[in-house]
Amino acid sequence: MASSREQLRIDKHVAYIVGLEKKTKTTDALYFTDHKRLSGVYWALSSLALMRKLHVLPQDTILDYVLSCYHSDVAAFSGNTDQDPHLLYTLSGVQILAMYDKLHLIDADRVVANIAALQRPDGSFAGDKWGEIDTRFTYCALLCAAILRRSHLLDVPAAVRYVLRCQNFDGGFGCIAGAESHAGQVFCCVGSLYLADAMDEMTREDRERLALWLCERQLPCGGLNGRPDKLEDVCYSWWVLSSLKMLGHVDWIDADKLIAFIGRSEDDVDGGFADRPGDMSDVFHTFFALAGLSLLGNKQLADIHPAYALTTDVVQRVTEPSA
Amino acid sequence: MHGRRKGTRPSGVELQEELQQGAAAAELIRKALQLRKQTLIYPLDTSFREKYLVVERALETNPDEYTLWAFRREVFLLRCEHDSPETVLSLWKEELFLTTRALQRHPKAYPAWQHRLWLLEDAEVANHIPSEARLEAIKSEQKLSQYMLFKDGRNFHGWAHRMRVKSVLISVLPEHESQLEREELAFVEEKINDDFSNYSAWHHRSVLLPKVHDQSSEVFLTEELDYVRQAFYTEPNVQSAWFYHRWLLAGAPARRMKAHVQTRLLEDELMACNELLEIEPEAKYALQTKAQLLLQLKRGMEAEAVIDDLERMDPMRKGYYRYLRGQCHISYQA
Repeated sequence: MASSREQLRIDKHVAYIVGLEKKTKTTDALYFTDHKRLSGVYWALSSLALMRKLHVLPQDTILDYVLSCYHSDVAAFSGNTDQDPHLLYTLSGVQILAMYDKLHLIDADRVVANIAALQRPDGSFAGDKWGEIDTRFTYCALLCAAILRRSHLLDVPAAVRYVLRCQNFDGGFGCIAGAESHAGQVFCCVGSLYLADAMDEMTREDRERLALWLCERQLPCGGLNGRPDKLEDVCYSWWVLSSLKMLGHVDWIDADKLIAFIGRSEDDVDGGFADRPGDMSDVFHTFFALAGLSLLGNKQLADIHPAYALTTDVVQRVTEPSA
Repeated sequence: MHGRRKGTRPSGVELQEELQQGAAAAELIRKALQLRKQTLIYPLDTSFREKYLVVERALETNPDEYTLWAFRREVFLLRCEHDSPETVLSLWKEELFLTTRALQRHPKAYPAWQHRLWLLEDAEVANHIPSEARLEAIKSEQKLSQYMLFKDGRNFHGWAHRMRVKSVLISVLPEHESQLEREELAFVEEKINDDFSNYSAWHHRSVLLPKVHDQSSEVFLTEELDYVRQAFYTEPNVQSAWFYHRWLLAGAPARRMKAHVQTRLLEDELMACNELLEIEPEAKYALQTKAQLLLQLKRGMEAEAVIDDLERMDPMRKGYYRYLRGQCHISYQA
């Protein structure tokens, strides 16, 4: 499939990612993403891993930074060195360590025990001690526990029951029970069900309705939106496609048109991908563009796992039966 | 970055200004995070109070700085323990006002919405606020989300906030639960009538309706189908009404019907689709619905013809239509 299409400018994209590290150190204009830099590092490293170039950044320097965001008193990660621990960033930290095969650097028992303490009786998860509830945090919790091989420390059946309560009239899922469907939340909920081995808890009809809602996200320009009557955005190439992949219906959208749309969002001069054609690149959309292309079978890229959001070799390593 | 056009990177004076603004914002946030490292001891001294103003300014600049909101909660809780009830009440109102200012400029900042909900919902906070003042604030809270939804009827943060606040209100006034749900349904209906294509509002209708109406009655279903028909007759190409329509027909009330009543209902809906398609033959969602109805009526051969049209008209989703065609064959056999 990929042969008939233009080649990705891997060298440019690698240079773009490598250049970001310098930029974050010197540009105050990036202040609005500073609180979530650890996730930025995950997007950057995952982009490199997809291009099979993880080694081009110095592992030791990065691990030092990642561990500077680890709070051993509560066994959780924060979004940046000066920030508070939060489940969103614990996931980024754990994913990065998994990529480098360095999970032994944290206390896995305590990390997962502290995540378990964030679970509510109704099965939902809070993001931190302040109690915000969101299905994004359910996904973070289940994925951290899966990577650290300690899912048994969480009440997985209760988590599944809560996720199912969040399924809506259109088959999609929202941030809490009763909230509107959104492709990002759909990914989190379908990912949670997948990780909990509970995809069959959705009825066949619900799965079909959800997949239809997801394939209706594709617009005439080829790009995908996150909700009806919204603009297309490259990041939904990941949220929507990975969900369709887990449901077994990737072929319900037009891959060629989506690949062409992602291609038009590529900056072939300075590297990186933007949210849509003509906009400026950023690391978030660069990762989601590459991840989407990987799911669509691009041969220049490593395969990505739709639920773990890690390359499949890493997933194999963390899920293989331990010796 | 989100929505920033390539080639619009500023230069010259504009660039200088942007860099200065960025540097000033970054400096504010650095100072605020630095202050956080100080151990909080009551009474908070004058120098701390002066410096604390920087946190407010940092959050107005970037309300996504979640740690700074947590810092404010810590300071607020500390003062709750020590300050007079009057001071605590006015501090509480100031905190609410800060989130209003932040949300007006950044309506999608998760941590600002979270902070606001915490002020209204948290049990520890509630211990320090007179219950009448708290109740009054919660009751008038829906005005904020109404305002936010007036500016953007699809802001899902605003919608989710309404739901969360309603739960808080129900926990305070459990005897008013059904009245509150009815009022919310009236609000949602107003939103739909303003704009039939407001998908968020249709979604919330689907959530509220089962709470307010006795769904077992056939009358309910017929009335609801009439309502949704008005919507798709007016705007046949918006998805909201069609998804809603499909949900109505797949739901419990339709399933509980006797077979012949259900068949008649599906046939009525099929007729409505056909009427619309006579005027708007290219209305894709009407065709999708028609195919679905024919499948439910076990008229696979007719369904297949509709699916052929759909595949021609909407080739991006031919994978889905192929799947549907597979269902037709099941339908033949049945």
